[in-house]
Amino acid sequence: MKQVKNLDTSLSFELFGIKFKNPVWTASGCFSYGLEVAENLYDISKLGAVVVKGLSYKPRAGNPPQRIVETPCGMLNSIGLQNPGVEYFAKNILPKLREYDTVIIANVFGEDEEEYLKVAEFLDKTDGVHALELNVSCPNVKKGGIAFGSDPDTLYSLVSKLKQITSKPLLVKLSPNITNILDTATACVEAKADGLVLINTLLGMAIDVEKEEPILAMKTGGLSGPAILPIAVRMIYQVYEKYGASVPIIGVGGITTAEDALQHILAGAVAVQIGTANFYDPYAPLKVIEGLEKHLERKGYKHFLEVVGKAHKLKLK
Amino acid sequence: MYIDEKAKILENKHISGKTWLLRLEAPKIASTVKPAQFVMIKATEDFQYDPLLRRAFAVADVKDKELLIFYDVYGKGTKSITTKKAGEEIYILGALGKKLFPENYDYYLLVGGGIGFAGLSLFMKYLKNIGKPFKAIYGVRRKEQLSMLDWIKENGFENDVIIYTEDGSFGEKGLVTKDLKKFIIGKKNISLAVCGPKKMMKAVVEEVKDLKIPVYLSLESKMACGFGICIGCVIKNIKENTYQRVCYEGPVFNAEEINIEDF
Ligand SMILES: Cc1cc2nc3c(=O)[nH]c(=O)nc-3n(C[C@H](O)[C@H](O)[C@H](O)COP(=O)(O)OP(=O)(O)OC[C@H]3O[C@@H](n4cnc5c(N)ncnc54)[C@H](O)[C@@H]3O)c2cc1C
Ligand SMILES: Cc1cc2nc3c(=O)[nH]c(=O)nc-3n(C[C@H](O)[C@H](O)[C@H](O)COP(=O)(O)O)c2cc1C
Ligand code: FES
Repeated sequence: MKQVKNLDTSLSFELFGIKFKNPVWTASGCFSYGLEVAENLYDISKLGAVVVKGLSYKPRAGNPPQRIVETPCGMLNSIGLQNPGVEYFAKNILPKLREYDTVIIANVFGEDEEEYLKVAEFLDKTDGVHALELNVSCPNVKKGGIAFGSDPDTLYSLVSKLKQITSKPLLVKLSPNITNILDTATACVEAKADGLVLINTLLGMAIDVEKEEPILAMKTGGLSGPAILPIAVRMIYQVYEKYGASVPIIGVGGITTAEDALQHILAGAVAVQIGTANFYDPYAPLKVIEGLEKHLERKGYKHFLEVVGKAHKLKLK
Repeated sequence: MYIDEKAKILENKHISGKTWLLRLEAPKIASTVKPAQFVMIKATEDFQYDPLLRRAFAVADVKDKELLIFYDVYGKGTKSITTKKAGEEIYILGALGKKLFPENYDYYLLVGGGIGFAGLSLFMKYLKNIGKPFKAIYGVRRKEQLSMLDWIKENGFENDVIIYTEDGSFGEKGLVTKDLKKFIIGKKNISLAVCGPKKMMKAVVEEVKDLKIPVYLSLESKMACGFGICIGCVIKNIKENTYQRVCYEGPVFNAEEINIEDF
């Protein structure tokens, strides 16, 4: 594992050879491909990184509507990884996205091993994509996704093969829909993943009591938003407890504010992703960046890396 | 540009039935809003997460710095909007929606059902301002649901709007489709602009099918963001065979592009 280095400002750092302006990224599927925000809301160059919506080799139509429903302090989604395919992305979307000075991370999805490998191989040769985030945790597709993310042996095999075909940093996004997160985390570390992203959505369901049927067309969906914050924090804490700073952890799940992000960071995350919060507070990522700077200043820290994993009182490797 | 504006509430009052009126001072959004566009209203204070998502509402009218919204109360979001008092502030994101009613027709027939009329009123005002001929049909079940009646009178549209009530308690008795063809026949280069409940939009599309005139529907769907980033609000475009975002590739769709059974 490559080490994390301090750079010039209190939030800038380097991870697997990539320079990040700050540790605040946008989460896959919660920011489209970045252009809607860039063209209508704010300059996305301010972000640490943009993780784009999941990309498969073949275009995917996605699931029929209704795809989303609000739940207490959260929401369920079953988008079904609608995307135009990785080639279309590279040709028609990426050139525009590259005009912004931010790190671009591609979220990689396949229905089977072959498709995962094809997407990764393609992206390995695609200029402008800095790193890959492997989505083995999507609960909303029948094939692929979670099937890979819940079995440590399958995951080990997939990650090992992907590591052989790509020279770009490979992050693996883990599913929380599993009894012990350390099983899959360990498989990824052994397969030499460059980092772990924790967590994807939790499988859930909401029922319409008038119609007496599940609200989402696909019946189940992935739970995200403030409701899942403590689960993400707990899982990050568990993984950091085992591996310490030797395995970079990217925290995602339930972050709206800098305080939420700090919980992830104190638990052991070296960067965070903002997902659902973009929907109800479009400026949330920028507010988190500002809030982190203020917090560090108030607490007298020179750099946010001093805070990473600080909630662990025990001695770490 | 989309703006997340802290709007001042000027008025928030119950009109009748389940409908409320919300008048907001939002100078930035007011200066950009176009007919058929909508805003996403955050019903809660900062750091309150239930209800979590913003709610979508059509901009029914714009005057100077002011936006007018008519909203029906169903659940958590709209209930919590009713608790807001004049003088308080509320976040609204707008003006949203990219594909609006096309302007290249010589005559427009507007058909609004219930609160859906609020999705057409600004377009109606626009047509009047530019001097394009039009008629508007406004249909509801009972007189009490004619929540935009005062607005129609105050803004001088009495002669432009024909009202239908299902029970005959006001205006013409019957559904909006009753005399629909009468208003269309003989008009050259006409198009329909429709907004309302699914059942009504479906009936309108069926009724005029054989006339082969373009029908534009302003659609609703469950939205998480309202500005294109979640891909949650989709409807199938049957011509292109893809799911399109109502908030970003809409909210206005040509009826031919979609399967009326889908929504
Ligand atoms: C582009 C757009 C423009 C819109 N413009 C307007 C407008 O101008 N005025 C207006 O009143 N509404 C408008 N709507 C609909 C409005 O957004 C919803 O009614 C609102 O989000 C409901 O929120 P809630 O908190 O009351 O209900 P929720 O908490 O979302 O739902 C509570 C319950 O009510 C049901 N429900 C919710 N909305 C409706 C509905 N519209 N009809 C029937 N049942 C419903 C739900 O299925 C659920 O069972 C628009 C929607 C869109 C997408
Ligand atoms: C609408 C929606 C779409 C998503 N799409 C993807 C996706 O394509 N790939 C992926 O790895 N995760 C996807 N996710 C999961 C998020 O990236 C994130 O892991 C999760 O939502 C938890 O973070 P949050 O609580 O901040 O939203 C999606 C989440 C939502 C809400
Ligand atoms: S509501 Fe999010 S894409 Fe339309």
